[in-house]
Parts: sequence; structure tokens; C-alpha cells
Amino acid sequence: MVVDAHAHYGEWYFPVKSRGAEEIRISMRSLGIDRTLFSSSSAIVYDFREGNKELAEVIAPVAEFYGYVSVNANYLSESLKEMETYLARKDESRFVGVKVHPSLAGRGFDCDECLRISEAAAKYDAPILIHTFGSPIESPRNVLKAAEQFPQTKFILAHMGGYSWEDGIAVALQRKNTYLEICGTCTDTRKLRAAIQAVGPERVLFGTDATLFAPEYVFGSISDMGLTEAERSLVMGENAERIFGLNARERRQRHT
Amino acid sequence: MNGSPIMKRKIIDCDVIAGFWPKGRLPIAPDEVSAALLSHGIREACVVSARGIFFDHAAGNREALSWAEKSRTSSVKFHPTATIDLRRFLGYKEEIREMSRSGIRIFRLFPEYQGWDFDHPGFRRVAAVVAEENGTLFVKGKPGKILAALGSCDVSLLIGTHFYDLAEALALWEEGRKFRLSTTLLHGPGSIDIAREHGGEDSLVFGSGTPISAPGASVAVLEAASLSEDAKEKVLSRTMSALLQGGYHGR
Repeated sequence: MVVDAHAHYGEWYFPVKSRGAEEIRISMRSLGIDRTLFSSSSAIVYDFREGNKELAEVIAPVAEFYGYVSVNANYLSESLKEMETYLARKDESRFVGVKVHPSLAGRGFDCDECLRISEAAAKYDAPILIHTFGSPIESPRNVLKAAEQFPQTKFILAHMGGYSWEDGIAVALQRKNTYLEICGTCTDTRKLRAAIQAVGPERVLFGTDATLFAPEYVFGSISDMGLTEAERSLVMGENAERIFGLNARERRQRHT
Repeated sequence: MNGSPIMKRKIIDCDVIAGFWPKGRLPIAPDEVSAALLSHGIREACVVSARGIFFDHAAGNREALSWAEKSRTSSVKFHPTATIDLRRFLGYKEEIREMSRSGIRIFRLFPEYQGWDFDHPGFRRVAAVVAEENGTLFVKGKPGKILAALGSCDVSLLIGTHFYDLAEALALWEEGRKFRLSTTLLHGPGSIDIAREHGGEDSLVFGSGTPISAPGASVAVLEAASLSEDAKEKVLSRTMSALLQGGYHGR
């Protein structure tokens, strides 16, 4: 099974061709992606509540789609309420994790509010996908404080730090509850091998950043990164299935 | 990507560096770069020496010429690409002219590694001499800043820009400004199609950014673009061939 652990649904302010749910499904089929975990584009760049609501409607009827609840550290109580709404009743929701974008909110993940968000995520057993890149506000190192305080919560470093991927790996080496997601403009062929060697293939996740990026971009880059079959199975899907409990969730839903 | 339809076509990659990489351990020796390109069916590439970017542009340019000469009988043909280090500037005019006499048509600048910006007055001077020599200037950055800095200079211009800044290119094309884009970082959904629709079929040149970037990524994005077969061929090789002949001056 192939699971895209980092995707978005919705429009972008860049000159790109937008894709609706059906076009995304067609694209997933052609690329061999079985499940996609989305955050709403409008939720991360504008109004998180509005975006989460729209995403909930999109993912509800589609078996291949799952969602991240986007939160904004500037709106802590509202963010916690969003998490309760979409994560408290697992079998009634298709949201399986939390999305935080520090630079778009202007708040580093080391802020007190993000600790509270991490605490809530621990309560709901929901992994957190955090945008990480090279600037101080996006630094992978900002995740360490929460990862130490909430060892049971899984923290996924989106883009594994971007061009600062060595920082991403350094963080993952320090905390076993951190994971590295590989998509991004940076397609340095060394980064995936370095990540696997440092923390093992069990803590590396495939993502595309679609619909912001053409998903073919990351598929093409992975073809240059020399994964073994066993590594490929883990990175491309098994890890996400395990971390987000997708199989168990789908079994429960089949029985209800 | 093995077996992809693009691999069966002639591809000239405009965006390749070889040599030694001081900022990290990269497979950047010429034979390593050739192998990476060949694995995606890329048999021609415009290659600049990292020595020229980081240390000594004159020595790097001669190294690029030497690699090109050696590559004549190899699986991957290197088109020598010259660079000028604007931190030095001294001797730029003579260097461009000498490289032009050696047959080089593509001249690259590297503000991203050398820490200068497009308001460096030397940028305009280099562009003017490259234009006199009927060459093409290739630089990465935001199209608006680059074109503003160049003013009325009519150099044949190739820009490497991220699709986040593609809107600048669209606006400039609408104003009738003349330049082309490397596809290296046009990996937004439909970015290549949008660029072609606004800039025309000659406005794009295939670039991979090897070995800083994985060549498979750029190949896969171009493969997925909705271009006609003819347009794809132009992007993959024909436009770059013309630039290497010193053609397409301006647009």
C-alpha cells in the first residue's frame, strides 16, 4: 500500500492548476497511491476553522482520503476546540492527525501554545505533522521541546527540514517519537539514504505536497534515491499505516 | 523512471554542475554526474565547473572546456558552460570574449552561492558583454528583479525560478519582455503548461539541477505536463540547441 502522508486540498495563490477531489482520485490511481492524508490549503494559509470544515466535507465520502486538523497557535482555545471536534470521536471522523505550519502562522513550534496543542494531540493519540524548513521559525529543532515533554505523541517533520535536512535527521536521532517526511523542492539524492541510515526506514515517510506540488516530482526524485524493496514498502506506506492506525481504523469502520 | 517515453527523446539538460562540492559530500565528479544523467536518458548537458562558482572562474571555465572535449566520445556529451564570479569582476570582459572564441554560448552567474544581489552593477556589465558575444545568460532568481536590473539590455536570457515566483514571469511576458525559463524548479501542478501558455513554446528549456537535485524529479514533472509532442521536443532539446548555436537572440 502507498500512503501519501503529506498532501493538501484546496486552492493556492500560486499559478498552479487546481485539482478537485475527483481529479485527485484519478491522479492517485495513475500514480499508485492508495491513501492520501490532506490538510486544507485555506486552513494553513488563512482561516483554519473554515478550511477544516471544508476538508471534513471533502474527505467524508471518499474511502481513500484522510485528513489532518489544521491548528493555529495564535488561536489556542479555538485550535483545541477544533481538535476535539474532529479527533475525539475517532470512528465518526476521517481526521487522523494534526497539522501545524509555523511560518504561515508566524509562531515557532517551540512556543507554549504548541506545547498545549501537543498535549491535546497526546490525549487523542493523534500524530502531528509540522512544516519544517531552514529559517529559525521553521527549524526542525523547535520540535524537540514538545517531543521530549510528550514522548507518546508522534511528531512528523514535514520536508524533514527542507534544505536543512541534516538538522531534521539530528532531531530524529535525539527523539524516537519523531519521524521524517521526505517531500519538498529539495531533492538532494543523499537525504533519503542519510535518513534511513540514521534512524532506520521505519521512521521515514513518503509525502508529495500535492496539490501544491506536482506529485510526480517526488516520485521522480525517489527513483534516484536507491531504496531497497523492503525500505520502499516501509517508507511508501507501511509506516504511515502503522503511525496513523489506518488498517485498524478501516477494519473498525467495516464492522460498523 | 526507467523506460519513460521522455528517455527515448533527445534531451539537453541546461542546468548541471560538476567538480567538487565544498558545502557537502555530493556525487559531483564528472563521471558521477554523467551516470546520474544517463540513468534518465539525458545524453547532453550544459555543464559548469563548481571550481568556477566557488573559487576561480577562469580555471573553472577551462576545466569545463576540458571536460567537454573529453566527453566527445562518451555516452553523455558535456556542452561547456562558463561562469563569471561577480565578487571578483576584474577581467570579466576578456574572460567572456575568450570563452566565446572557444565556442561557449551559455554563461551562468551564481548569486545564490556567491552572496551578491541583482543590484550589483557588474550584473548589467556581464549581461551586456554576453549579449555582444551573442551568448545566453543563465541565472537563478526572481524574474522581476532580474529583468529590472537588466533594464534595456537585450541579452538572450534564461532564468531558473521556483514556481512560487512564476507569476512574475507571467506578468513580464505579458509586458512583452523576452526571456526563457529553466524547468528545474517548475514543479507546481501545471506550472510548465501555464508557462508555455503565457510565454510560448520556445519559452522553456529542460533543466534538472543535477547533482544538487535529483534528475528524475524534473524528468517526471515534464513527463506529466500536457504539452504537445512538438512542444515537448522543443523544451527537451530544440530550444537549447538553438541557444547553443547562438540563435534565438532575444526572442
